[in-house]
Amino acid sequence: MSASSPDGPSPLRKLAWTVGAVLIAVLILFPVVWMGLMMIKPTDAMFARPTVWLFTPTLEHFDYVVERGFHVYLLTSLVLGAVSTLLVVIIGTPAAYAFARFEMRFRDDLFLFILATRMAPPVCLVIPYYLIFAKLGLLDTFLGLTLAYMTFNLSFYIWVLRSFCRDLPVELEEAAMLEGWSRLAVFRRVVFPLLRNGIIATSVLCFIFAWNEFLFAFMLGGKNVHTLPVAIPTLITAQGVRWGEMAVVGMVALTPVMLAVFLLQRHIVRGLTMGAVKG
Amino acid sequence: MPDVGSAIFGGCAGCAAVGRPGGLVVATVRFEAVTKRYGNVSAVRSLNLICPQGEMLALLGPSGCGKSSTLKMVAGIEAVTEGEIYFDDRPVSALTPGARDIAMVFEDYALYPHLSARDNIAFPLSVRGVPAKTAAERVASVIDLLGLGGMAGDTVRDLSGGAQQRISIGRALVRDPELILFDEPLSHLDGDQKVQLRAEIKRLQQTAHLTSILVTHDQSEAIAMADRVAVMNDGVLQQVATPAELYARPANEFVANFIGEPPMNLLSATVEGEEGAPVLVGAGWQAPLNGGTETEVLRALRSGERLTVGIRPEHVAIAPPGAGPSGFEARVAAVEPRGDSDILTLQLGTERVTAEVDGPSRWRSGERARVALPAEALHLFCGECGHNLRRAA
Repeated sequence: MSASSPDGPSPLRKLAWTVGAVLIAVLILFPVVWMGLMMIKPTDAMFARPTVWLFTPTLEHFDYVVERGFHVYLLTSLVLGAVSTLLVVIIGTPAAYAFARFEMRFRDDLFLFILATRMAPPVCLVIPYYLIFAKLGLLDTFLGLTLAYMTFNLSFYIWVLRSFCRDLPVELEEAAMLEGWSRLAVFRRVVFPLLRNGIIATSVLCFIFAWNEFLFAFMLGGKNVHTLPVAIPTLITAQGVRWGEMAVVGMVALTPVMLAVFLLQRHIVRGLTMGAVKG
Repeated sequence: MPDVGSAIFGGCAGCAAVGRPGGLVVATVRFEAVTKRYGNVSAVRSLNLICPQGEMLALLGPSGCGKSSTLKMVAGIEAVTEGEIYFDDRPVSALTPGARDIAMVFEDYALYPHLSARDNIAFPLSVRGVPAKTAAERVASVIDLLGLGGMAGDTVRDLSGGAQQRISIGRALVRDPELILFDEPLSHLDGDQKVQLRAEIKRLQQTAHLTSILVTHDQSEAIAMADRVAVMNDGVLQQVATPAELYARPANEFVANFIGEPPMNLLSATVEGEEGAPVLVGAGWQAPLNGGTETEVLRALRSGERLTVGIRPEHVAIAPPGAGPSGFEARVAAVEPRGDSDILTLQLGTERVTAEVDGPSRWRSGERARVALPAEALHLFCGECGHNLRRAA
């Protein structure tokens, strides 16, 4: 096969592509690897010049992080992200379906209104939230932050999932209704399974939003509800920045997101390339 | 194939002809003054129509004519605005779709993409809680009937359109419904599969005496499959008749123009001549009416009255110039060869007329010809409302 073969790329070309891809991957992964090394590097070797590649690994950074209660913050972040995302899916899925399927008065206006809740920068909203939550006694509570995350994730979720619903052929539902199923049964047993990829892809994004969120967690949280993104800056101390500990927390914060993406990769790819449900 | 009926209904061929096991009988569907409005738009206007038991009725018309809305009202997917639909003497418009015992075959097949062909066919039975053994037998007989044996285990999204639609038909047949609705079932199939499935549906419908309603915009489909065809336009039923009747005696200009390929020529004309022996005079042509039209129609014509005259392309008589005293001069403007026939476009004064002659013919564009419009082949339509005068008489 010559280099200019008409049927498919030549081996040389393939090799070039592979090398290119590996280079890009290394470039992207390098900071992660570096962070991984920092986790177990003794503090005095951290910024030594020239770079120390060989050292005796230490667990001192882990000890410090656990001592400071970071495992509790991790749990807080996980619970907040999971609960708020779950509620978004439970409330948002029927809402998105209704927006896609039913004719109702002011439907489009209402839909735009829902989207509009995401148009304001979060900084504009956080003060009113603070004042309202203070009145309602929701400051520094799980319920308060869950509600706050739901409000901005819900609009995103409904907006995205509506287009998934619209891509479903309505005849599938009509066929099932002719067999005697109610609208609710059709939704549960026909629509829901077909929307699965879309729901998974969208809810993973919602979870990541909640997971990474700093501003609301910082303003509306406190001693009781302290999430990881809020806790990380406390490692910048008067005595200096605790780089090793930061690397540990950073790596831990990265893990759930990476796990979610790897485990659900198949659904996410299908979900993000919409129209996959069409026959 | 006498055992086809029994394959579906689980009884012998004799039972299938008189009724269903369990006392179910295929229904007559009757529309009484059925109207459908979406907001201010009338999709169907006061429809009165009957689909007799065991027949296939086609709803035919251009898009937006109300045929699909009509079908969806029968299915219960759309609500009836006014009027009532009866299955036999039972009003159904208040019933949910599931309570009507209807099966439907959709344009896009509407199969569940995650299920296999067999599971799709079994779906209506599992929904109804039919015992597994009975269900399996019925599914197997339907798979046999439709020749789907080789693909029963395949996931449907990998199958061809024709196969998917056959599975969809299997799903409709499996629970032997009172009525089967076909919503443009062949629109997405290509030529070969279309013709094959068309014959197959017809065969199943006839052997099993299924009452069925077919919605289509394709006249060849309606004519090939249906016992009777209801032509609709703009929400109004234009005519319901057998395919032969529609062709021979269209009720009005719309039906005349819609049925037949190429469509009927429609020419404006004025009635002239003495009473009892009228002559039609158009722009560049004339035709005496004697001998071709019933006397009561002739008697009703008044001199000076304006009419629309219709003639089918295959009835236009065309001969070389100077062939005889009858007819009038025309010029061949275009020739479109179709193999077994040629379609000629003739310039007749200011009018253009299509003629169909046996092909391949020796006519070339630009040639002169002698054209006659035989009185017995003319359709006369009221110049104002477009109704066929012969039917009105």
